[in-house]
Amino acid sequence: MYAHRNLILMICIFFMTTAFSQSTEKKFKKRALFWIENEFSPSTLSKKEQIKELDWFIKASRPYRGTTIHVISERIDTHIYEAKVLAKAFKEITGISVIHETTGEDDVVRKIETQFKKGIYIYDAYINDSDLIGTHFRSQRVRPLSVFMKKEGRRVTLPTLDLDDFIGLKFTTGPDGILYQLPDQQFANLYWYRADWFARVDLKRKFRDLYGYELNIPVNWSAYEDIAEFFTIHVGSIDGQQVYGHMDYGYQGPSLGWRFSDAWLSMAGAGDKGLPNGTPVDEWGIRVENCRPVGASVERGGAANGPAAVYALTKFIEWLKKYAPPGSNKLNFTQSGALSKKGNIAQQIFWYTAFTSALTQKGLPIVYPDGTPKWRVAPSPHGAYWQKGMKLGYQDAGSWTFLKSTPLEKVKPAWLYAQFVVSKTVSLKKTIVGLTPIRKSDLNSKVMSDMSPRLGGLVEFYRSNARNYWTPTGTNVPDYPLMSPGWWKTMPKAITGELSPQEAMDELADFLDDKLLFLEKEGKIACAPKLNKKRKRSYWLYKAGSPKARLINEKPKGRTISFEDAIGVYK
Amino acid sequence: MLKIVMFLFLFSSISSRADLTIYTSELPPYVMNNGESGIAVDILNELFLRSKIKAELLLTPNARAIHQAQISLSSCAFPIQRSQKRESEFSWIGPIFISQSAIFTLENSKVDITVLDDVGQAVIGVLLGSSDITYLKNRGLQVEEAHNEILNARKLRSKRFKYWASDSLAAPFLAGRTGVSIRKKIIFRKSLRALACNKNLDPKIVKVMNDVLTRMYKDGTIERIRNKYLKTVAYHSNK
Repeated sequence: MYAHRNLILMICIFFMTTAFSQSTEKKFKKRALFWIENEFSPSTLSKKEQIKELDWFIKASRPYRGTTIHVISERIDTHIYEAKVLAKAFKEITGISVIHETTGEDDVVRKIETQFKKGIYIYDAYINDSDLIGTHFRSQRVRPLSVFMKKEGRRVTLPTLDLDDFIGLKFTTGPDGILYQLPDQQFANLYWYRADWFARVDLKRKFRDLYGYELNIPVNWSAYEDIAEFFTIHVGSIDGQQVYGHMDYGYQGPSLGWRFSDAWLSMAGAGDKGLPNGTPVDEWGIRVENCRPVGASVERGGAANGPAAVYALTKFIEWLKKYAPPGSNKLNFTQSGALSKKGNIAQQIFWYTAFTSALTQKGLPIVYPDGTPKWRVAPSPHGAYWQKGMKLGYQDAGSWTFLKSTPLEKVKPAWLYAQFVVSKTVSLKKTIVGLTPIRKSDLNSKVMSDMSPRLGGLVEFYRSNARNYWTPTGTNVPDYPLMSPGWWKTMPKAITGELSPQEAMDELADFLDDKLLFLEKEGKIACAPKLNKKRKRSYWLYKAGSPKARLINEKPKGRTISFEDAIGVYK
Repeated sequence: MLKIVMFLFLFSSISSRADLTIYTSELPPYVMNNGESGIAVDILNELFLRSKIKAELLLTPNARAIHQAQISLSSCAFPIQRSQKRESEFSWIGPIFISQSAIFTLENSKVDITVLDDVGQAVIGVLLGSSDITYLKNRGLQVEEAHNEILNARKLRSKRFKYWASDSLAAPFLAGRTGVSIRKKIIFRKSLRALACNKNLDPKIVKVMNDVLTRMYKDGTIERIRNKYLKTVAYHSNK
């Protein structure tokens, strides 16, 4: 009798649990539909496909309902949208709470460094720039995604993730062919200019009279410099407002370091040919032989203090002082980006497209009343040492990164969130908000075609092959967190005049060599550095490739082309 | 200003003038009893002992501590939230510990917060000098700064504001002292808490201390110290 009563009780519990579970499932499905109808539109998927994709998330997240995950990313529009809107949607659809921190990029780097070097578990996932790919494949502290997706993460890997649709996987794959990170957002640093001013007949005539060629998009730094001088010195003011032919920033801090390490030396032409990064010498000036970094200084076969690097720094300082608005040397990356809104800048050689959304707001002096911008972006001009086949700019690929020191049971729900924010259900809407595209399907959508006139050339750039010439830091840098401070610690010494450009680049090369030597002695990483012996600079400078000997003429004749031709080069 | 001489070890290979002055403020459970105990104090104690560095601890308000570390050589502020904005202003030794910032309301508040931004345009009370201020402002939120956290707890009680952003472990201690019953609504941020030392401090000292600290993490010293205080923390957090 007693056993009979227990059986009835168990059956009741079973049915009550099932009913509760079904009602919870219904609630999640209802919320999924709500989000599809009210937020995730447009999408490259049909509504039916979106429902199916979100159904998968509802089922896959069952074991993790009620858990909370902590993730961290850089503070840009795309990630703010994720933190404010997508984290909330994810909670309502899956029952998993997400604390999505948005902070300075250097904070992200310091925290990931702390977790993997001090062994302290801090976050369940990082949206970490792929600039650390050289660190990750060597340290083996990151969960290799291509392995994770097939093994322990198989059941939580989205069947419709469609990796082939991502445009940035080559940036997040190690030389070992393993995918270590999954891109979440991408933006490039491009040439930015006031298309309305460049089209003015009076200014075009004046420029031609002074320089002997057309005012148009500069192909080389000589033309950029001429245009900078033209607007700051010869034009001076437009419609009663003081205007400047150049904009940059020089405040000592991590963002100044990126201004150089991201691509500046490669744009000058300091490195070797090769994509996504120069081989054997990359844009940091680090030479690699058989996967091992062998030196950054010219004396060891690197290019960090070679003539091209010194030329790059010299031009940076010269333009900042001569042609940028007064006080630019006191600004950081964010402040400088905001200043372009004022409408007194004619061109900017190193402009991050992450600011596109902020610079297309209606009511700004750089936007027409119909919402189309008065400015455009185009492929960046290159320096005197640059040759065809070399990287020509930087592309940031903020990518989902999971550390081995994070418990697997926290990685799994975090991986679900990561896939949710890059899923096709969500991705096109996120791209429209943040303008940091990651999927071919989004880029090729009609929606992006329709938006194109309002985005100043961003869509044209990303649809062209040019996106393969704008690349992140590559695998030559064996420990990004350890080595990157060298840039912001030494460059300001040349900006203030404490050191000459050659002395500052010598100091940087010494810093980088010291760190490589430290890693060599430590011997803890795969493909660890093995420094070349020092030789006379002439030994390396007169060999083919990088480091390159000083050019007799670092200012060849300026050359400009039309926007269509500039993009056409990369078709 | 209360002055407590902590350790009297001299690391002769560095310099005979290797003394450090550490400016800090009461932040239970990290810095308690006028700087005589607490998680962070015990960690520092061990760190200086192993590094053989002589240091003195001075209690001073947070904003002033930061200022002192900026202007005087051989000075550090502690425990400071390391951030990109501050990165180039100091030499960093850390993290001494990882803290979590949370949004608190009065105990009986019914507001539901899924993501930080659910706070909307309501004012959030924050400690002056805390890097949470920049963090919250960058997310488009409104803050009101106070010179100390006791004042923030009191303002919450008198409903001068609805939300208080503070350290997730310290706030329950401080609220308890002022007799305010609070509820943690959401943790919104983790911070590396470190010694923010004058940027011209001898790099050898910085390296020695960072190396010792790494060893303290790896040999379990940091965890042991944290665990020692966990019971007290749990008691206050559950109140």
